[in-house]
Amino acid sequence: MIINHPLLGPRDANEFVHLGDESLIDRPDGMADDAANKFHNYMYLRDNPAGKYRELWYHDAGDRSWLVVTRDTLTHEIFDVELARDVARARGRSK
Amino acid sequence: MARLSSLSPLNGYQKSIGSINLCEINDYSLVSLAIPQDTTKKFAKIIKDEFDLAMPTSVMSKTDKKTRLLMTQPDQIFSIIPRVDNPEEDLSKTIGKAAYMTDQTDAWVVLEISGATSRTALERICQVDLDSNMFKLNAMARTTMEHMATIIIRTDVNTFLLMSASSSAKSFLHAVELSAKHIS
Amino acid sequence: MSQLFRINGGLTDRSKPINFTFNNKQMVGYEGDTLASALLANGQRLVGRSFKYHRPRGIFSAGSEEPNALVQLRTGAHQEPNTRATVTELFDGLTATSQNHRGSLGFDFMSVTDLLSPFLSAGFYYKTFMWPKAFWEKIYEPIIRSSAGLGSLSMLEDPDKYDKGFLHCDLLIAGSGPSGLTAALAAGHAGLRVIIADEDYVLGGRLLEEDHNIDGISGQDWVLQTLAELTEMSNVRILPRTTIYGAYDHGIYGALERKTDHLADSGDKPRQVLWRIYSKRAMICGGATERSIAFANNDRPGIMLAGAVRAYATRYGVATGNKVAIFTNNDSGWQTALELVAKGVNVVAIIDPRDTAPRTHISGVAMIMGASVCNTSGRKALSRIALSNGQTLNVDCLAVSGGWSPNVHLTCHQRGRPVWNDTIAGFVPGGDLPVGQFVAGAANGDMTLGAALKSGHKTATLIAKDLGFTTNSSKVAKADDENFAIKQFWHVTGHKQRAWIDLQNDVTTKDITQSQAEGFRSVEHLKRYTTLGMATDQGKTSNVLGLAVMAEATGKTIPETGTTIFRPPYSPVAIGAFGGRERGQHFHPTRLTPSHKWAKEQGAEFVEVGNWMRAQWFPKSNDKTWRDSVDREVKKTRTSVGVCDVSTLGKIDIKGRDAAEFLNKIYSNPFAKVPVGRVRYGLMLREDGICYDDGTTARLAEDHFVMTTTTANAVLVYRNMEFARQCLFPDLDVHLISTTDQWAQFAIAGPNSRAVLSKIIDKVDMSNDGFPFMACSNITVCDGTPGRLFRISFSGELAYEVAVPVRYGDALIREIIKAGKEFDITPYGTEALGVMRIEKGHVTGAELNGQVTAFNVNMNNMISIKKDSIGSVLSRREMMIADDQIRLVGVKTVELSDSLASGAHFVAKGEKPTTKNDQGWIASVCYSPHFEQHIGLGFLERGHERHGEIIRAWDGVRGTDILVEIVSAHMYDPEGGLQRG
Repeated sequence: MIINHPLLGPRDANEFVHLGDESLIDRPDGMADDAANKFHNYMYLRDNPAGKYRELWYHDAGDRSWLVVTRDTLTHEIFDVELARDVARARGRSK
Repeated sequence: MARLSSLSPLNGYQKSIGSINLCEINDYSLVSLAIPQDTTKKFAKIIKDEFDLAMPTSVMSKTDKKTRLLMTQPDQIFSIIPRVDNPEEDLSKTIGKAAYMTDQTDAWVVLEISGATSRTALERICQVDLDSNMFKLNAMARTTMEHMATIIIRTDVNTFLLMSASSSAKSFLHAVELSAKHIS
Repeated sequence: MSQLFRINGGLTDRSKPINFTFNNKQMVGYEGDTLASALLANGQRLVGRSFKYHRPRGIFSAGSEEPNALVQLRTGAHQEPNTRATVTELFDGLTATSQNHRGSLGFDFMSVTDLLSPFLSAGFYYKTFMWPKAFWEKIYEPIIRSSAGLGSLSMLEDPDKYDKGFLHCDLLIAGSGPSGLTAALAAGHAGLRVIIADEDYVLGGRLLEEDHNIDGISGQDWVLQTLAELTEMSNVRILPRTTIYGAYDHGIYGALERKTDHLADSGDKPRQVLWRIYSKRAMICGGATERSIAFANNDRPGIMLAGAVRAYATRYGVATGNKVAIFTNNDSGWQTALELVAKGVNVVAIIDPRDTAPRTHISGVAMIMGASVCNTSGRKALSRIALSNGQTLNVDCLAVSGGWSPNVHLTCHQRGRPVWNDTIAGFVPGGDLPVGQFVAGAANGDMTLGAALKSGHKTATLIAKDLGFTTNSSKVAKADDENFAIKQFWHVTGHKQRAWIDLQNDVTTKDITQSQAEGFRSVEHLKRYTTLGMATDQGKTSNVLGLAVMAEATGKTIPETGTTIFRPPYSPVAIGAFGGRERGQHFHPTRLTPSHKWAKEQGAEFVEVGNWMRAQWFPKSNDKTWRDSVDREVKKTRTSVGVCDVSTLGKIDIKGRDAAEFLNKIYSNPFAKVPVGRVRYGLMLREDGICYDDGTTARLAEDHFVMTTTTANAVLVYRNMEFARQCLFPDLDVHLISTTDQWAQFAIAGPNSRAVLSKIIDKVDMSNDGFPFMACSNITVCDGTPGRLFRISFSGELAYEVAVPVRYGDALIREIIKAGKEFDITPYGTEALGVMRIEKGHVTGAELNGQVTAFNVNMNNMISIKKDSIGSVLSRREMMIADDQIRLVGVKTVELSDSLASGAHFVAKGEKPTTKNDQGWIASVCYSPHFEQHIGLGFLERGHERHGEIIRAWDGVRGTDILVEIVSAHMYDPEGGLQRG
């Protein structure tokens, strides 16, 4: 596969490490009252779509960016590649 | 007490294989400069003022005769400067607190490959497209060669700098040498 | 044997004879020959025995589709089985032998299996050999395995070299026939970066094997002219001897280039190179493969594909027989007849099942319309054919054409489904091609030369425009459209004899109808039950024929029956090529420590730890066993001083305004208030609450920490921290960089460590107050070399770690040894390191094995409840902190002479060693020179409350069962006075 890195252009997928669902960005607040439940869902519940899927990849042998890759799990077509840091900020994460 | 003598990863290796020349470069110091959040503009100005260099990009290094700047990851720049004893201290005189500095001189081995067939040899281990229209003079890429993380920089039509981890320098040299032998 | 079948013409060089042997017989061919063409020139018809029935077989095709002529090349370790003679380039000194026979090729003892054929039909091994059940593994299978099959392996290590590589292009063209060449011309002129690859060693495809006119010159001359033009273009790369074997995601193609297979001596260069080709677009110009017609005994040597007979005459100058008949259901067979006659080959008859007038007039040839070949005879080679009209003909070669199947293989590698085209009677690529892939020429069903030239040019021009190149007005080469009309005539019926469909797997029409009768209705099942289309040729000449016969048997059409599709590789690729150069010690990179050279000089034994080579122990001449060395290193360190290279530990530089806050989130214990100049032990959890890694982290400045990780987890911890930094806390000002390879770091441990270090370090107050336990500082050593000093202890002794940039590491270890000489300093390796940490009760990967929690290792108090850190919430789950959970303990053998093994289970005295009674396990063991007995660390239910208890350590794997005493994990200096002193 080729991943079109937003800063570097097309790079072979063998430079990357795959992690999983984009929702891993949405880590709950550990000090909240219902933290235990929220963390259970965060850790163990995933969609498993046959089709478009947003997932985290890490450019391990490259610029060490975490990326959010939107990929079709059936055809491997890649629709979009974003810097995960930008996605995280857009989803309200900060410090 | 005598001061400690230094030993480079490949002990000053130099060799010609067919029309390819390989040589270890070890007369530099390398410091990573991490740019604090939200201060990129300030940092760029200092680079301009002190080195008279534009900010490098993720795919293109900047260089004058003395210094080469590489953007190795977002907010991180490698500066390659002539060898000094304590490069962090040396650079902080000019850069001050505009970047967090980490000496990386010894973390890398730098191998220069040159000669008419250098690209043909690199085809065997480098998956980055080195066509001169795609990978121009001073272009750089962080990639992997034979499972070793590598930075490649084009310094001339047929000359490239290859940087890889110093601890696996001998394995890295073997990979490059073998490529040269296989095509010569 | 002289070359009795050589005729005039062809592309072989008659001035360059080549000597080779086949089954030890000396033969001569010419440069440009394949092994097959040279064998045919020498009159060698019988070249092998068939897979199942050991029937005599001859050369069937002239290309990579060959099912029969599989031979063994070379001898000794270089021997290679199952090589297709039809694509093997002849070289001087080539040795080839036939395979799959016992006794000689001419008299094969195993040919008795042919008489047993009624018992060996489709799926025979599922049925005949079912009972008694026990016979399968011991008797039936070994017999079947040794009697069926192909060539044999040398059983020696492959001495050849292989390599890999990466190529990039705008347009990859697979195949160099007329469509491929015109495409390369058009794309090359437009300025695209083009790679054109062909499996053959001469480019031109069927233009080499048939006589045509293009633009007023001969097809062969047009090829030469075109190649000359392409060679001039710096943007076109021509790869002969290169098979595009697979189409992968996003325009990546796999290619195998045979570099030195055709040379007598490789010159120590790689035999083959496996290329990964990155293409923006790809054109499949793979042409078409001819198929046969099934009739009784259609497998004798001398029965060949018509196109192959034509190729041997036209390209190689070889007549495949003295009396040739042609059996064809389509017009290409007639062109073959015309071309053979023109070259002086004796064609006696052309037999065509179509009930029409002859397609053209060929003088001197019997033109028999509306008839078919219904049987053949000749024991080891064809001698006679019988026709449906009652005629018999004496012939030694029968050229058969059942039509042409487009080579759609590469269009199917991403589940593309070919569709049936009735006009050409073949499957053509469907609409669902891999992204960026196009097909032209015969592979696309453009079966005539004129159409192939046009489609190649047109497709390449479209691609060029699509990629933003300006296409100039390069002319399309022109040629006539030859006739290609075909009748869908698949097999000759009305006989009880075997008619072969798949020659390689010995699958006959009967096998197809039988499997259909037994209920195998899907083509995929048919394939697996009969083995149709399996093995090295993957059914290139047989698949469509098999489908057609199956369709007929079920009363369905071919589109209704469907087709199996193809996976990579297009043709066989040696495993060695996939391995490439990564074999032996080059399977992975090797990392060397800064003291490696010195350690080698000391005669150290090394151990692989991940990619690292670490000194395991340093033998001395008095040491009789490795244990003597390790015991000595431990004792000397504990009583005086020892030194160990610990540079392999992961080191991460953490800088930024928010570095402390960041570490507070990464580590479960508090880090925000670590003072500058101090080190703290940190515990890292996974988000699910399981222990992940541990290590010490030093604060060298307000905004600067240096973290150490375990050697094994360095990369993973770094990755996880980048994840936290970029994805979880994107606005924290914190920056990471690995400094593992920057620093040479040595642990100096033992009561005399302070005295040794004081001689090396410049101007540091080394007193216990001046530099207490867990202190750290930037320092200089040996008169000015910058370095770092940490007072940390893994051994439990008074100990330090001193670090300098790697280039000084070799000099520093020599200085340390020099400075320690008066204290008889000992270097120690990973074994002694392990012994001392077990004595001290420090955990490593053996304990933090991905299953245990902080609670299990008695470190629950290290999980701060005042802050949110990775893993802290889920570490508090009820079951993970329940009272009856396992806890870290120390163990000592009750009998001093007993030894321990890790992996032993704790079982109470008098109880059976069952899963139910399992109370925990031993994780690490060693012989302790300090306690003078075997000790270990393990996990035991409620272990923290059970110190002093005697329990069994039962090891079912090694068959031991001994008594051990449970003690605190902190066996050596439990109060820690030594390391603080």
